[in-house]
Amino acid sequence: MNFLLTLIKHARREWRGAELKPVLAALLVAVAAATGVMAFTDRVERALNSRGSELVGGDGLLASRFPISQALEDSAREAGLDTTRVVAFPTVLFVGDLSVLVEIKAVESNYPLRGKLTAAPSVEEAAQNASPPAPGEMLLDPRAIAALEVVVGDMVEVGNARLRVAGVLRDDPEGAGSFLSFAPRALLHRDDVEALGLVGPASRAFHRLLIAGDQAQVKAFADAIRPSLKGVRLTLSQDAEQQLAEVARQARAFFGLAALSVLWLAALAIALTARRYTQARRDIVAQLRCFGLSRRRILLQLGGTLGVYALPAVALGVALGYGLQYIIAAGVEAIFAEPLPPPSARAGALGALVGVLAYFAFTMPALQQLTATSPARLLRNTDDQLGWRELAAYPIALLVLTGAIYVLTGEGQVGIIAFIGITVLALLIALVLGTLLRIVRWKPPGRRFATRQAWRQLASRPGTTLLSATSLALALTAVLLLGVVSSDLVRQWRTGLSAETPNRFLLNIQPDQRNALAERLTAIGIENVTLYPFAVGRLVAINGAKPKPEDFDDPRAARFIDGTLNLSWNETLPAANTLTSGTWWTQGDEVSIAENWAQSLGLKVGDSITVAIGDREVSARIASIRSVDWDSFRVNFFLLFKPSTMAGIEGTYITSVRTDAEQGKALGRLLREYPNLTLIDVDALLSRILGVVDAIVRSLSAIFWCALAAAACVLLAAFAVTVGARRFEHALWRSLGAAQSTLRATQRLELAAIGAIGGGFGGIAALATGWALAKYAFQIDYAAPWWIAPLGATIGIALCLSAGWIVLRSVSRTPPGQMLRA
Amino acid sequence: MSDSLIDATQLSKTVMTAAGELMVLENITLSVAQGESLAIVGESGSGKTTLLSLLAGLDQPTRGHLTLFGSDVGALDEDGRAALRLGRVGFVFQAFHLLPSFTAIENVAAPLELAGMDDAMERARAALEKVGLAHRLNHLPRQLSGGEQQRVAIARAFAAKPTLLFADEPTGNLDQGTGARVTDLLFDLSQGGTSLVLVTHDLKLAARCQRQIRLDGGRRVA
Repeated sequence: MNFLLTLIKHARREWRGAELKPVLAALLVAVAAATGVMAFTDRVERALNSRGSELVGGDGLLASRFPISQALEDSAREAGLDTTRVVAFPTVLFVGDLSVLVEIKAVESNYPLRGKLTAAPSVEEAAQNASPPAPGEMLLDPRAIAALEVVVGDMVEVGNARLRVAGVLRDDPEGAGSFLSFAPRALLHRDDVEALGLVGPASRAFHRLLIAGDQAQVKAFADAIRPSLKGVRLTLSQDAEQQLAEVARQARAFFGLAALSVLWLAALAIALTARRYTQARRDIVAQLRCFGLSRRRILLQLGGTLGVYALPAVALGVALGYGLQYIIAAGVEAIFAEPLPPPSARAGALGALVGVLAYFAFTMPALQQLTATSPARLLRNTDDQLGWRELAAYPIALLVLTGAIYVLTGEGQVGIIAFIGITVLALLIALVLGTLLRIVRWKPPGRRFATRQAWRQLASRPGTTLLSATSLALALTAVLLLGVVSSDLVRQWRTGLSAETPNRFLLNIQPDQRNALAERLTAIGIENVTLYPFAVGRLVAINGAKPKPEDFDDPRAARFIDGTLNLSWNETLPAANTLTSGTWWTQGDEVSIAENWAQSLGLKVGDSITVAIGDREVSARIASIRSVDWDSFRVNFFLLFKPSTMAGIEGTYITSVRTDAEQGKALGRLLREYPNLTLIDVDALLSRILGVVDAIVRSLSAIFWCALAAAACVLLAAFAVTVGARRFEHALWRSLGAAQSTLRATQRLELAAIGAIGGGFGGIAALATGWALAKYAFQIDYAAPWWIAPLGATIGIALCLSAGWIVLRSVSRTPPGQMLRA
Repeated sequence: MSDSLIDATQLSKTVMTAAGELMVLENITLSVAQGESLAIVGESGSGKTTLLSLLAGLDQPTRGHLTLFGSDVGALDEDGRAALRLGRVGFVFQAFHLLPSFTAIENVAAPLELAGMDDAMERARAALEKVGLAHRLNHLPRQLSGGEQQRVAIARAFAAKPTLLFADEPTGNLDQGTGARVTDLLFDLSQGGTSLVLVTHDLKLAARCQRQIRLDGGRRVA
């Protein structure tokens, strides 16, 4: 009780000092950022998990590019399972002059086997449980309804048919891949598929057979059919759950790693401010120890005070964190097909835990050092030697911090590597800035006293300057890279796509439509159209042996072996392809393969492969390996056969074309005459993908603004450390005759220089990263937005001057007479 | 108009304490002429440092009148008083008061730059050579001994060739031998026409000044 009273009294006294508040501000930022990220990722995790069992619309599904055989369905029924078939394919819906690309799902009357289908009578009304659409009807996604400007009851053209909109589609349980919805969905009855005329042997359709039943029956059926599946993928609902758990884990790691930068800066701020707090108390502690107070008692009292104030700071941090997660979620909500569940209390607890761990880890070394203060300090004012307890505090701090990183990111090793990465980056920035400071110190620029003095002070306090400028640079690199450079880069990449870059793909062109379609395309101004034959096959042998996914290191190999392959044949090497080894057609049955496909499967020129196309098998020697420019938006294939090798194979045709706005509309009208054609609008797809990128960038930006707040805490802490020295300097210069205005100008110039250097450096680092991305990832000539550097410098100056005003404004009130009393 | 650099008449200073008003200095009258050296002596708490602070214009008297270089200090604000000192007044403090993060040469050069001298670094180098620290130009104060630090402070004070130098217990933090060497240096350099106002309780040091005044309990007693 006595101790408690002493603690409360002590805590009240401590609040009046200037050293405690910055420690708490740093803690607040750490907790807010951690809670914000944890709450957001927790929402994503729960949204994904809640859908796990419903995701496949049954207890399992069989999926293929070809219709699932009747024999498979029969054997499922014989095993006592319920089944239903789904066909999904992209197509364009029309109403008058309006059109929209949708993902059609044709379902049977018993769809879904698990989960609920819901629909609404209008966009504004609430969803209710719904039955699958009857033949002649469709349920339309709200985005498609908006694009076509229709209401329930209107007729919509799809392929060769006209269907009535029966409702607004809301929840569609069978949605592997639809959680992040790129194209609006439309649900119609499977009986209508034939009438649409859109699904042929080589069309871009996906066939699925959903199964449901007793868990043991499903498992037994899956085990029985798995060895004999060819080109059919089997997914059980627990596999889907695992996949979703993996997505959730990745989301948490991704956003958690972004929040690491905040934790890094906040930890730095906590360490700095705690050090200042304890340094200011060394004489008092020396006196207390001199009076006989035990080391343990002092540690309890000081630690207790820090703990007492940590509680409200953590509570406020958690509250701010929940506010922050709304901002993060608002950024990405648009890309989720359904609203996220509300945030949970668990996230707040975890966020608080991360903050408290960082707080504990980084105040403990300073506290240990403080309690080690020798009473002899009162006699000889020297630094105390560190004992094992103080030295042990640092590894313990790192260990505790590792725990905090694990909680935040869900990643032990990756989190630590990222943390070390940030540290190395900070050290690099500090190294460059340190070199600059040496040059400045050697020859301070400027002629005015204030200017020269500002530079000299800057260089003479390298610790403060480097800490402040490096923190600013780190935070602003992240903010500017995300806020400006990334979107600018993507915009430039998009506008930089050459005027000839195709923006529409036409698929499913039947052999008898080739000539007529080419003429029609020429008539609307689209010339030099190259139509490539297109077939779908499966890889069945490599050098005569059946390939097994487990024999390959590259995980993509499994997809190439188990999945279907798009293949083509041509006399000449297509544009955007370059031979890297071998020769173009020579003699015999030959195939040319793409470089990355060859690498995944470990293939070389001279090897042979066999593919099954329908019921025919084609074997060919690998004549060449090609490097393919996949960014060219031209029709490209992993496998390109010699035409004679493919004699007798009847495929459909595919092409890519470049259209302007008018031609785009004309092409839309043309599709009415050729309803079996599938049009992929690359522009719309790109817009949607860029929209997703933008949404993620917006969310990450919210986290990086926290990094800037943490950097501001570091600034406050670093400046606060210099208050005593600055007061002394101010009094000295005043006694030597310096005008108040000169000293104020000196201080402002010094702070502004730190801001300009740190912010400018951040801007330059963001530009450099942008340049590297442009050169190596986007491979474009990047017109760097050079104004980012002055923008960074301006933000840096504003932050430093503001922090200086908060912490250092009392310095100018120091009377010159203090020199004689010091 | 007087020829004195300092003319103080009836200077008094009171401060407010919890127990009420406390008289720190009472009716001090003195003057310091060009080239003259004056020692202010007295016990601890006698008001020596307060008087020095008032004479240098670092603080304001509660009552009385002070002219410094012929200007009425009472009529000037703090910036005006600072301008009055600029380039004409030097200080040597008991605790040296060097800027800890500046090297020796930077400590000496910076006040010269403040006074608008273009050749500040050259002058600073010359001043440090004069006090025997040519080999310590780029050392930080913490790398120097107490005596060396005080020599840097003296070089800083004299580098601008001040008209008036205030020294507050300049040997107070030094051992006897070092103190004696610093004192010699101080008086040697002030031979060039600099007036010296020296606060000390060391009577031997005070005796080297042309005049002495003694304070006791805030009053001038001799």
